[in-house]
Amino acid sequence: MSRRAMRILESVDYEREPSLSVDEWLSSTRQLLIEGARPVCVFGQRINEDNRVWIALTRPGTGALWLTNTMFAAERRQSYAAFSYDIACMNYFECELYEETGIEPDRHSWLRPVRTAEAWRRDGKPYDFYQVRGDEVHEVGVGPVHAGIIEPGHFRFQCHGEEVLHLEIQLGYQHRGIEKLLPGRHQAQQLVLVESIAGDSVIAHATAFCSAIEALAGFTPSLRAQAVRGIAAELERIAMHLSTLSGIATDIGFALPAAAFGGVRTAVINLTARICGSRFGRGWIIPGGVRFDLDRELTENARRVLAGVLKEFSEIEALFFHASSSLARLEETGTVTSEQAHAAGLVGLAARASGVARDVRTEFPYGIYRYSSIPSLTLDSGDVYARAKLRSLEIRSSIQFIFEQLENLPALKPKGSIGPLAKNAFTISLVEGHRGEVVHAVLTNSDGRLAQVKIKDPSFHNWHGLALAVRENGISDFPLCNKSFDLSYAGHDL
Amino acid sequence: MVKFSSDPVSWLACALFVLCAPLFVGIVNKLKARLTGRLGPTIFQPYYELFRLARKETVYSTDAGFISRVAPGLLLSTVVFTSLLLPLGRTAAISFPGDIILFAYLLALGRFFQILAALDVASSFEGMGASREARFAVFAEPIFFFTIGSLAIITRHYSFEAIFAEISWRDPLFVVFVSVGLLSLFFLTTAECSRMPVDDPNTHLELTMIHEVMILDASGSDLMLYQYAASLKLVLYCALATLILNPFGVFGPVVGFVIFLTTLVLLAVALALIETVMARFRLPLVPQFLLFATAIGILNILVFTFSH
Repeated sequence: MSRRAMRILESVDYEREPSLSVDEWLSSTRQLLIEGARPVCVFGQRINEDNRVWIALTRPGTGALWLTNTMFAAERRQSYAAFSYDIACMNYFECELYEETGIEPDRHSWLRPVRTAEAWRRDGKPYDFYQVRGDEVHEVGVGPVHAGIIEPGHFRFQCHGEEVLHLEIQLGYQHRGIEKLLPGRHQAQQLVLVESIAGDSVIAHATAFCSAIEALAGFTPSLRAQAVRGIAAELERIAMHLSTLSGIATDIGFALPAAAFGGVRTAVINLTARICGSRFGRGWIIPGGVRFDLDRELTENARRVLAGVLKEFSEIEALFFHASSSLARLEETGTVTSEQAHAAGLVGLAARASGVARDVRTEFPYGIYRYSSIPSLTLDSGDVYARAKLRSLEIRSSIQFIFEQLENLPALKPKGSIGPLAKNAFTISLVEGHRGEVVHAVLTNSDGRLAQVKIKDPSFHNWHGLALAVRENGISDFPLCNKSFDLSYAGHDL
Repeated sequence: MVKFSSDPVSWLACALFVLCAPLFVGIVNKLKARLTGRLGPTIFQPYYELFRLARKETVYSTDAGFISRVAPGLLLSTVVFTSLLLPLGRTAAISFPGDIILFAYLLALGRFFQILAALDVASSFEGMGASREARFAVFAEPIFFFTIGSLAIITRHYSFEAIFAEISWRDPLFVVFVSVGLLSLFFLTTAECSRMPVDDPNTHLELTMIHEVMILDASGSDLMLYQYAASLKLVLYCALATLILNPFGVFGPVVGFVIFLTTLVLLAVALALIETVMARFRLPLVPQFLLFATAIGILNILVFTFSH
């Protein structure tokens, strides 16, 4: 057997899983990639001095995953023929694998630091940015310290006049080593850590992590808990999409919708705070269910607030998407074609805005989305307009979804206690955050305690999408393109 | 012949004008805040900002030469000097035939030094800002000359004082000239003073800025001088647009002064409204916008030619 089918949240005993030889692993994984499977998670499991490399790929159309693995023994040369030689979406995964395990992809076209550029330099592996040469070509470096209150990241532009020829993004300034911090902590501390992977995706990451822990304990949260988690996730999506729309309006200097979108967002995050005490949903999701339930009064309040939000949002939306001055800025700016989105392996909203339907909620339905479906919306143009418009469409469908859930919340207990985790087990949890696919792969050791966690925020895929989007655009439109993706630095850096 | 006004009121008006410039910016900011549903800072906030900056230490980049040190002062002094050429009151403090040209090129001189200072610190951002500023200045210059120049041709005078004194509201032709001039000068104001839709004075995004990016390295009292010069320049252009209506000549000093102030406030409202209800232009579109304003100026000459 060269590959293994795996359901999401299936608990797999990795000790009993056969390992392929490196060559078999290469050929079967490559075969899957060529057939159109998309990498979801790549990581090296440390076993003494050896590295066991796992790759999880999507199994198109089935709602399940393919899993392949191989063992790189420490005494052998740790290298393999790079997949990314002809399969672009593996590129960054291979860089990450190299950085974390030292297993080297041969013939890799663009081996670069993912999170630890400083360490590369210290180790005498200086990394040079890609450079364009020419009389009228100039280089602009932005960051890591920015003029506004945003996260640190370095952007290196190769420009011809105002036109961007190439953008290289170097991140890692927020690397906190969350994956290393997680094992060995108390569960309460783990939750706090998971919630700080990306401060604006608290609910998505907490849900992904808690679902994985529950799966390893063989526990299924009650339907009510799942429905409340769904409400939480959609509230987060609405709030963040509003925040991004406000940011887009700010970046094009359109003050009225900028202020108004921000005002509506406040109503949404205040609703979240009323339910769980934190505007960003910290402490809401716990293993076993949810810590805060919606009683009748809160349900009524949520319905009222969201109805108001919908009404106000519709007015601002009409102003924002009908003003010719804003359309002139949004349309045909920062276009990512669907071919590019496919090849680069974009996920979530950025992919859907380029006509690539990638939405965990419909591809790999989990939790409440198995029972009540939410439409996966796509737009084709792939420009800033598509990414902005899609956010506004998703806000509407999320509000609708929450209304439906509030109507028929099952009368069950919102939380239960989970038992001990399975030993030597491994599971993968996928959640659709507001940016896209949040992946947590969790492994336990022989004592049934957390041994390793591999986290992937959608930003990991999508930063490259931004680099593609700004090519052949004016450099003055970069901030606008950046905001239309609205990616997380912390989520990428972990 | 250069004529220095013997009327102390003109000098006093200039001094008051220069002192009140930050207030105008404060009013625009306040209006903008109210229009977006916020309370906003007080209209005196720009003064607090200037005082705060003046107290701070000025730090120079290690790459900065003497240009960076002299540019802020030079810029401010050119703007202050140009305000002496405007007939604020019945007469201008300093006036001579051809002072309209001095007006344009004194401001250009200030801009030249600001661009040099931006290049002086060898930052890629500021180089970009300088290039944008220089490029758009090329397109902005004809707006001024076609608007004020057309009035000069029409009135056969070549100083602000004399041109504005000729403007009369009784002649229906002048209603056309004045409204056309007001419109194109307003466009010029947005371009020269880095307001929307040409530049966004509130953005924090270095890559999209024009004016703000050139002063990224300025700090302390240098930054204070730059910001003061920017606010003075804004009110200077708005006053120029207002003086086209010739309020002092038509209505006498007291009513004229009230009308002058009212028009200035209306222009502030217009600036704030534009910044609230529309998005900024994409950079490549700015020259088109400026050429449009130039075309409006040319309209005056056409109307004048065909009506005679």
